[in-house]
Amino acid sequence: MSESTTRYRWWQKLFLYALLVVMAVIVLYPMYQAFVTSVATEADVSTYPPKIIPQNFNTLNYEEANDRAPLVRYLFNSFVTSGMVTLSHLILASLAGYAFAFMDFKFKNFFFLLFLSTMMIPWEATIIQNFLTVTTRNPLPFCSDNAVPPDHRRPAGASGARHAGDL
Amino acid sequence: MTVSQPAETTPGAMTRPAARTRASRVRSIKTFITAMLFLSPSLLIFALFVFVPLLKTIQQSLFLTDSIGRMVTFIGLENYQEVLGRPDVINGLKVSLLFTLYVVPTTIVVALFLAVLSNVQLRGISIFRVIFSSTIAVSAASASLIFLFLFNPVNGILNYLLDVAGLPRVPWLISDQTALISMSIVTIWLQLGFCTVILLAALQGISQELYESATIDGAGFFQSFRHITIPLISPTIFFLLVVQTLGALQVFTQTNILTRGGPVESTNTLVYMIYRAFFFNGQYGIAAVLSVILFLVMFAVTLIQFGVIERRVHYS
Repeated sequence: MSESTTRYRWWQKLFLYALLVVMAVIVLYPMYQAFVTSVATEADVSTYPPKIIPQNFNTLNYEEANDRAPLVRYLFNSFVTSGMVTLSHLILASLAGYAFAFMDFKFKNFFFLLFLSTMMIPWEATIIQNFLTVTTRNPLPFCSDNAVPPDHRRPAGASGARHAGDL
Repeated sequence: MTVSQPAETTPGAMTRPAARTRASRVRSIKTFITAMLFLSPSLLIFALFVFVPLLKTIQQSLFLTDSIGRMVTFIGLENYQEVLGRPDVINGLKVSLLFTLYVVPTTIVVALFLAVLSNVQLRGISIFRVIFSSTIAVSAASASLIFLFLFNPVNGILNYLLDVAGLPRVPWLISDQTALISMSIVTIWLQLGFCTVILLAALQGISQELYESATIDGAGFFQSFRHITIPLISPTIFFLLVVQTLGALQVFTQTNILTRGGPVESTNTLVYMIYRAFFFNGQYGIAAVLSVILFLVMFAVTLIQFGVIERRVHYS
């Protein structure tokens, strides 16, 4: 707790490090196991007991995944999307945040509640209308017809990218 | 629900009451317009992508729809009457609330533990800070797929560990008794990174002098934690509580990848019911009604949180 002021005794240090390592293993383990599975062969994945250390290390899964889908392109798409989302969030949220924090205006609580309520509207309740908005020919002056490429103009389930912080 | 009020600016030199009220009214209108200029970009986006679509959804919930979702006949609240009595809707509501109850408190408590643990001053502590925050970089879809392997009832690592420890195996996702808890475990793990980062930032904002004077006054670790740490980070905990609750009530990816609502509807959340009604059963009106109900539930829960818990939050 107390930073920089407390000198820990050796057994306190040992206890803290042990606790840190145990928690780190618990947090990291699922990701590690995903890595092990990704470099294993098809046969090794379904054995019992499960493999904890990679055996028959190979990158065939990666090659096959890259052959089946343009992963680099997908990664690029994700970068563009998240870059634009982050940039616009920073601009819009800092403008609104400034007004809420430093200005005293009428109906402030109402507008704050209005902003907050956008977090409570289920994504499913708006997705259909939003899908139509971005795919229909020129529904908005600034939203060009090409905002969504033609081959993606179908609802890809409801598992598309949601905003950060979503579960 | 209050936003912190800034200090009133000193009024002008005018002293006559009438002139002063008029001046202050002009000033308040001016402030309002300035504030609106700050808010308008966000409000425009909200209007286009949140409020108008929501109103259309509400409109749709009052109509009978044809097979491609066009509104045909106005039927008022009939859809609502049909939905509210259905046992599967009650079940969906129960599952959503139960899931939130499993996930949110556990996530915040464990994240607080990790944040306090990684706030100690030791060599190499920054490595642990990175590790504890690392799940922030994992998407819900990846996490669900990873845990699908770990939860495998036959050769998954979790049942293997139980075997090694000599404990009975757990059916994880394939039993209606444990499926929702298994789904909660994935979600807790996934949200740990985010919560730990936010809490750690709050902890590091606490002045060390407070702890020093507490120590001089004879306070132990737990007393300092109870009377200094908790009050000072309570706004952060409250923020996490609200955000995580809203997130948990809207969980979708985990349900869709891990269980698809099964076994025996034990993980069929309200959101997943909306998805099924809309994309598979073509019940657009019902889906709209469920969306409105979910919105009202979340709105009520948030209002309760602000009404009951925010009073205890310490704003310095």
